[in-house]
Amino acid sequence: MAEKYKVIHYLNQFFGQIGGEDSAYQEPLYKKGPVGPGNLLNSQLENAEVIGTIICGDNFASENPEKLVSFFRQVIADEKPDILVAGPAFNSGRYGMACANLCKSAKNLFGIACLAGLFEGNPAVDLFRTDIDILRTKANAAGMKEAIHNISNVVSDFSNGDLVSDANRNLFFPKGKLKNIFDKDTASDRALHILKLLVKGGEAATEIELPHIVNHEKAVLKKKLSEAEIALVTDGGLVPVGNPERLESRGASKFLVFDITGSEGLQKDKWSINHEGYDKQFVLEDPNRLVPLDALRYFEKTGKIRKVHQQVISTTGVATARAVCEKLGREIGLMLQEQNVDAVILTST
Amino acid sequence: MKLLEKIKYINRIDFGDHTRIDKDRLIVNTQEIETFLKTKIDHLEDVETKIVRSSDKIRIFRVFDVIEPRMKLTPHGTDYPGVISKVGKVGSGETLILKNVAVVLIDGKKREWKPVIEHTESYGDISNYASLNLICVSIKMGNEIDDQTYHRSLYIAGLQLSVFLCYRNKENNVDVEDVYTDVNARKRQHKVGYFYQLCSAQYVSSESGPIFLGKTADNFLPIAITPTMGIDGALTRNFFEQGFETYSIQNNAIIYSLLKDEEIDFRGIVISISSMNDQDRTRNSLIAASFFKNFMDVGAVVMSKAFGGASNIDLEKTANELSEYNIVCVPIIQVTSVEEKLSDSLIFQTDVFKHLVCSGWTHEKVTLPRDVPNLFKPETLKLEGDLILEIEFIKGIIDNLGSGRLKVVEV
Repeated sequence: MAEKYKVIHYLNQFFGQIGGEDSAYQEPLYKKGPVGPGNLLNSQLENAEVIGTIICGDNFASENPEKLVSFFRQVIADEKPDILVAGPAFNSGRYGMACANLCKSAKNLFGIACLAGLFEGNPAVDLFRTDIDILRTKANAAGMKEAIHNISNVVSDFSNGDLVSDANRNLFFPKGKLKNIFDKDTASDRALHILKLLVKGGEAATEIELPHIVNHEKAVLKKKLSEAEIALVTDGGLVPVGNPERLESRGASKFLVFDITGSEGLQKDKWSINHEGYDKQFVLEDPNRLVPLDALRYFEKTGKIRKVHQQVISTTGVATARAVCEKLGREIGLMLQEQNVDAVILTST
Repeated sequence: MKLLEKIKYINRIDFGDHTRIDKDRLIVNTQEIETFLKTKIDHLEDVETKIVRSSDKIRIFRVFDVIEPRMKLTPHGTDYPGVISKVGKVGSGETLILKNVAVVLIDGKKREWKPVIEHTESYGDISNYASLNLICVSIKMGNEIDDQTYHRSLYIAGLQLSVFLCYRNKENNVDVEDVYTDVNARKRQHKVGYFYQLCSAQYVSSESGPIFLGKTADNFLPIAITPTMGIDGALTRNFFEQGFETYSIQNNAIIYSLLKDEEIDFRGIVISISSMNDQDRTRNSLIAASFFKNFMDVGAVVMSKAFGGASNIDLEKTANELSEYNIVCVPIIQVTSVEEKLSDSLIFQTDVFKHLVCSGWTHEKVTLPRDVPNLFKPETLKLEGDLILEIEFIKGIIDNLGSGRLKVVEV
């Protein structure tokens, strides 16, 4: 039989069976083999074994994190573990922070696979979720059995240096990155499963939560149009020929600002379109069809408006995430506000 | 309506002296195929035919479409009505289907090398096409032929060829027979519909292929059709990218799932296109919702979308109308760009969708190794390193019609 993976377990003074709050300043100590909940964990592990337990008081860990890491370094040197399991600490604040801190060190300083077990309300989740693998638990020790069961399954499946796999990913808090994975079911099967739960009066989980939509109040022009400065903004991918500033043709991350001082209109030999979301031929024939500078100049000359703003703003509105659109919109709005623009003609495609 | 699908499995493809099906082998005579196509297509100068066996490791460039060989046995001569035969009835009678084999159409006019079929073992479980036997066809027409004529000719060539291959099986036995009928379904408890976006008008303003009984997307209004019409040749593909191939339309995973489910009374499909202005969107969504409520009387609707961002807005608008009737919606969507949270990647401006299924992040960059043999690689493409492309350009992985297993997760 292949050698088992060596697991070090981290517990606070309470779960480490040292004492209660009166032992919160317990300095770190190391015991061979499992302790407390580590015994349950060890009994469920396959291909792995809890070879030792680090126990530390919550206050000591909170006030001396570097000393705890230093102690951990020595344990690593002596025992050469493969995996660190910290907690589960449930919703306990100090204990959770100690677990997360130790995991971060284990991963970043020592390159050891690690996980912490925490409840979603534990402050350490928000602080550390992008750095380490945090397994979801219930709020308190009533969820110990379930947490240990999940941890043992994850550790038992460990084989390639990463505790998180596509199969167990749902047990962990997301790290703030998105990726494609292959599910065992097709999209139509998943849709049908949801639909059947719903038509039977049950509940079903969505694969994507809808964002919270904020409806902004519409701005009202507080002066006569003949006194207003009007800016032209487009998401139709308008760029100078050659696209020198490399505006993305989709999934834009930026907007560009072009000076149009003195231009009576947009000339077809000077402007192009970099946008994958529509048939561009009509705009390429006459860019004013996208950004009506020629018409606005006419209104400027005839006094219908006071002034055309001297800059045209352009971005690409295809395959651009809503969150990015909001960010770009906010930046464009603030910029135009600072330049005393009164209104915008926003042309899309 | 009763549709009988007669299925013949093709487990091997070989060259031979004439095109025929021998037990589970499809034997192809390329000269015969080329001669056949020359009789069907005007201005055809040359045809290049290659076969790819299911076990072959190869990368196929410039893929225009993929078609599963199918032929109407009864009523005879109603294959892809309005496109290669007169407008006629489909969705009932008998249809012969050759499984494990497909016709791949190569876009000889395309200057770009994408999309590709990655016909390799590593894609076997995740691409609809990676383990099929393939007959790849590239046609050459005169330089004076415009893109629209070329693509229409290529598509018709593909449909004709797929029927021709079935015709060579006419006397053979089939392996499986599947029956789809609405008689038993009517006894089932849960009435469900399917909102099926065929294409987005944002891509079809200048050239447009047939989408329904030969009709193009121009001035298209939502139409209610029976479920079996949706898989029996009434629907064909627009010539522009739409997130699915003809193969996907023929094997629409949503339609087959709903038809086969023993608890669901699949009442019908509303086919539609996404629009380019609010008036059209409102009109289309009102019509679609009315079909579902007043003619089908369904309690829930599965929705699929066409390629593009505009199609999200039409989906949203239709869902809003359906919610007025308390009809539950479960859309299958894709995300194009990804932010930190999956919800930030959506482009909906509504809270109407309580349940979304995400069939993939289309723009994920994928690396294809350089050491895979090539077929129909454009001469302009110099392979000096691995190829990097968005996953949507590897055909058969992301399918807007629900056959793919891809999903997006927060990690």
